[in-house]
Amino acid sequence: MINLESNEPDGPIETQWERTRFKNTLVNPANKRKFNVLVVGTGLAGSSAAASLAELGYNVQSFCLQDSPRRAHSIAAQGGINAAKNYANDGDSVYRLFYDTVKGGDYRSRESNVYRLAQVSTNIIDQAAAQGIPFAREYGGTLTTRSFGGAQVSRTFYARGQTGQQLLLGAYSALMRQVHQGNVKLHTRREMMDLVVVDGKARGIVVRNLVTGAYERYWGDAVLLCTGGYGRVFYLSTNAINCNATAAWRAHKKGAAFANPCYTQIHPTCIPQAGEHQSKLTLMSESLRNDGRVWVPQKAGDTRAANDIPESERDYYLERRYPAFGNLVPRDVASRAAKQACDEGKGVNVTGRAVYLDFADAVKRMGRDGVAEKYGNLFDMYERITGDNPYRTPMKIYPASHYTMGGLWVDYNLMTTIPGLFALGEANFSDHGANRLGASALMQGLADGYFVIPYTLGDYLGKHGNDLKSVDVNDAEFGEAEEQVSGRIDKLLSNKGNKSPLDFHRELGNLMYDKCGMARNEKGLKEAIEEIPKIRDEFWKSVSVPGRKDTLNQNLAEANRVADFLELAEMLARDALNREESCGAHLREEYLTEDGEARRRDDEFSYSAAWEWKGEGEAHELHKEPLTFKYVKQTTRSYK
Amino acid sequence: MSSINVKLRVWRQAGPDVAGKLVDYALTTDSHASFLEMLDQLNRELVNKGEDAIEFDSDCREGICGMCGLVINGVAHGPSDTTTCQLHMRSYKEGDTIAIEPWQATAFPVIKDLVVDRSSFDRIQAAGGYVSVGTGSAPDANAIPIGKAVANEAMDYAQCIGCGACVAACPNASASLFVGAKISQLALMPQGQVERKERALGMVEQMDKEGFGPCSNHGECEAVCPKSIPIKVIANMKREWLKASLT
Amino acid sequence: MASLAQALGSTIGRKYVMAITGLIWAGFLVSHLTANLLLLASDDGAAFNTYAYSLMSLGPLLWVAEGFLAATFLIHVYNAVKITMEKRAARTSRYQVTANAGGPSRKTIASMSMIYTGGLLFVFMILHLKGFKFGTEYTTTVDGTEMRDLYRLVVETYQDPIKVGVYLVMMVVLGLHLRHAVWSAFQSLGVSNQKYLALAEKGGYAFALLVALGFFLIPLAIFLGVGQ
Repeated sequence: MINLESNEPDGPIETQWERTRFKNTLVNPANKRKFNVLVVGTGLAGSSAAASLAELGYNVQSFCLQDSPRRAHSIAAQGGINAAKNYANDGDSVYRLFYDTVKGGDYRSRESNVYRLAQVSTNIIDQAAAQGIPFAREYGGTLTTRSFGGAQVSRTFYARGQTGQQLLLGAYSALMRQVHQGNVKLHTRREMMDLVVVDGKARGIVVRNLVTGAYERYWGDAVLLCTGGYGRVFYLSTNAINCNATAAWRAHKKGAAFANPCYTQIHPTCIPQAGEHQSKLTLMSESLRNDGRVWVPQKAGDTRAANDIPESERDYYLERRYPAFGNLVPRDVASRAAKQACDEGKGVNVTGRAVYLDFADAVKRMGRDGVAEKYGNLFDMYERITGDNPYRTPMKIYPASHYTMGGLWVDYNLMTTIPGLFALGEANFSDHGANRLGASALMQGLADGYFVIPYTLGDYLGKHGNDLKSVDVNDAEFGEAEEQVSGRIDKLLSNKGNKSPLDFHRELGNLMYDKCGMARNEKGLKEAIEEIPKIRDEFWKSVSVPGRKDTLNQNLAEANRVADFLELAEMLARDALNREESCGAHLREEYLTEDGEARRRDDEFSYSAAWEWKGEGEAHELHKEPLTFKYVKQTTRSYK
Repeated sequence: MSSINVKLRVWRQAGPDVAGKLVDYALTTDSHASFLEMLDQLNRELVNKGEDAIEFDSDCREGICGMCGLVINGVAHGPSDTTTCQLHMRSYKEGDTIAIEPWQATAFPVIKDLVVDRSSFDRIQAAGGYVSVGTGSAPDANAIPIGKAVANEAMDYAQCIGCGACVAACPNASASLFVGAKISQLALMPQGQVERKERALGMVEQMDKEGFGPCSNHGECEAVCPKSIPIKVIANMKREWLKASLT
Repeated sequence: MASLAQALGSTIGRKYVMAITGLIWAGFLVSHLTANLLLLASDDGAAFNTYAYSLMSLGPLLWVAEGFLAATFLIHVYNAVKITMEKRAARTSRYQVTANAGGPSRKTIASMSMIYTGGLLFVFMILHLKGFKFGTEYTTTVDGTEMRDLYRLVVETYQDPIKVGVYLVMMVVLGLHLRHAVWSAFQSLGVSNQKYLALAEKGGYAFALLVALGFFLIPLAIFLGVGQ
């Protein structure tokens, strides 16, 4: 039976974090080096956590599946990072960032966590600047900011269009400093295959060395999962192709509840799929919607080239439906509207799954050079990928899976329902509710790693560290975990089927996009719940994984990940079916207002859904963590 | 959708200590596919025939993570103006022969096929590619003003994605562009001043220890760099190193 | 701080040494060429021989200068060999297909053949010293002073079409070597100011062309009897 005690502090929200830190049990410096901490993943959350904990004196072991910690997918974030610095003097404050984030998340997040996030946001910018990250500056030498979707203040710090890269390289450099000093042992090209639980506490992991195929066992006093989201359950997404949910899923099967899996964010402006071969979708910065106009042909099935369709036969549907925000409506609204247009048969591109983003007016207004100055690199990228010139013909865009707000359930201290197992960054569910605002993912990853876990982990180890049973990698629990893992790998390899893991991943992705994507309904979700187990059975019958297990074998790695996605997908669909309301990124077609907008049902669904694994072949059990809003009033989001 | 036929000559190497060779494959592919998707397709065909897939590294497939990298017809990242993953088959004509090799350098040993071990870059980074500022000890971000031009120039160098194309393309397998970029970035930023000397000496020493070659100023690195980092950073590195060595 | 030996033995240290010794020799070539142009004066070698005589009468000072040049030359050669060994060790498994990346690349036949052009120049220099400095000692008298008639030796040497041919080929080799060497030395020294570096690049190419052409023309002129 799992315990969903959120451990939110009492009292005024403004001082909750301060009081928590004071009440925490401390570990004295000499004792810190007796504790072993395993950090899985080296993105913003993982690198910053590993570095910060090592600085404190803990023995840290860091794991990543790429060849270097610097490859983690945080690196691809473009736009920026939010922080309540109020440098712009435009009325920003910790409270406002907190308020915007709760509202942006459509009132489905925990207030205490979000408030703390807003509080530490300012420290992140200080830390990053001190690392030598070349943030964009004003002529006077101070930091510059820009505004981003869902906010009316300018609080987004950035380093060109590569903010994620620069922040990750900062955290990576801090990590490598600790590696150099011998406080962190780095293990690259290792994939976590299972969590080892001893006496109900997370005490170790089994990883697979992706180069030699060897299973390796590591023990720790605590395990941190910083392994990102599960967006690739949709196959095509803006995630890196090695992003996967295996670590989180295995932890889930060992007892960590998984919360709100149906909250998956679809980013409205991605380059659409060009053909069957496509392996991923590329995101184009949302900033394009500042000057581009979204439209589709008024007539369904219109096959004329974009420039041959006269103005009077175009439907600028965002401007028509949302006159106040126009092309700048939030991500979920823009994505849904694009899908609706395509579902009505007005979609463009060979696939019929794209809408136009037209810069003809912008070019007229600002001139070609003006447009180039603002968006030149994005236009170049678009042309490189599609071969089309967006100065001359409208861009084609389509929404793509981008970020997952759901994840492992964690309490205020970022601890999962397994004591000693913590989840940070996108891997947890904590701060974004049902929808994440732009430039908030970087903020959360670094907040968790730099400024939250050093305190909360210390409290856990301070309270329980000395009572932890001493474990060894030769203990039975480690042996059993490895046996399970190796049995599964052997099964994959010995399976003499005729379809590649990729084929199954695509099949699953198509189904998920169709039935559990931007708009969901009971019928489709029930079909998905019926269909997914069939694909899963088929997978184990006819997947073919050639090659050996004792050398690099990326097909084997992919097969192992797809097997987990095939399980996670079903839980996602069940969660979506259970949530009979529309909120944030989760839209149920049955729950719309009269004019087609999302309709939340706070009376019944103001809770986080935490799903407990009950065993193979058993249905998940739903647990509810009620959400109470003492500070932010639940209202209907309106962007009209 | 238009399909094209290409002849591929792909480097196959079973492991680090065995010899590799180019193996020929014929493939019909979609001209809209990216180069890596073309390889995905070849792999799918190989797997469906029960043959071993060709191992190659890639991750973000949007030109920023630095994981992908192939020498295509003798040029690192091929004709792409950024990374291999941003190259599309429309750059090739019907019947083209495409030779695909891994980064070749002693400091980047081949693991398998087209996958190499670039951990030497991590060790160079660990030898000084940072500002020693512990979490929590940072002053307010606006406490130290930094001119727009300085921040811009530092950003030009900070963009390095660590892909290793500079090493692959260099006739000497030198890592000077990679090391120079990091040294240049932190030498420009006020935050990097305190450890400026130790950084230059430490990173250069580690670079030599890893077995990268000396820089002979061929400038191939700049030509293949996905982020167009100029060889100016190499001159910077040399000056930083000299100053640190002399004082 | 690293020891001097360590610093000079690092890849960057070596390049500093290459650049400095190389530039010293580039400087020597300028003075050598200037002096050799005296060969073209229509005075039966009087000016040239007088210049040579004045140099030789420097005595111990000349030995110091020669010793310095020889030392820098040998250090240049030693480092060149070490660099070549290091770069070969840095890539033991070679590419099957090679190409130039184009664009801002400076990779040329010149840059790729430095060790070979350098080697040829090394051999040439030995022959050159043997043929002239240690060659036949003719004497002549200019303005009452008896001195070595180097002019006659040069003129005699360059009546032989084979010798002229070899010399001319070697000057192309020298030009190639200098084409990469001169600007590259400034880059190796850490000149990162883009304006100066662009100047060094253009200046370096011009220098290579002028020096090689200058040396090229002298034996050609002698052979063809121009100005005699």
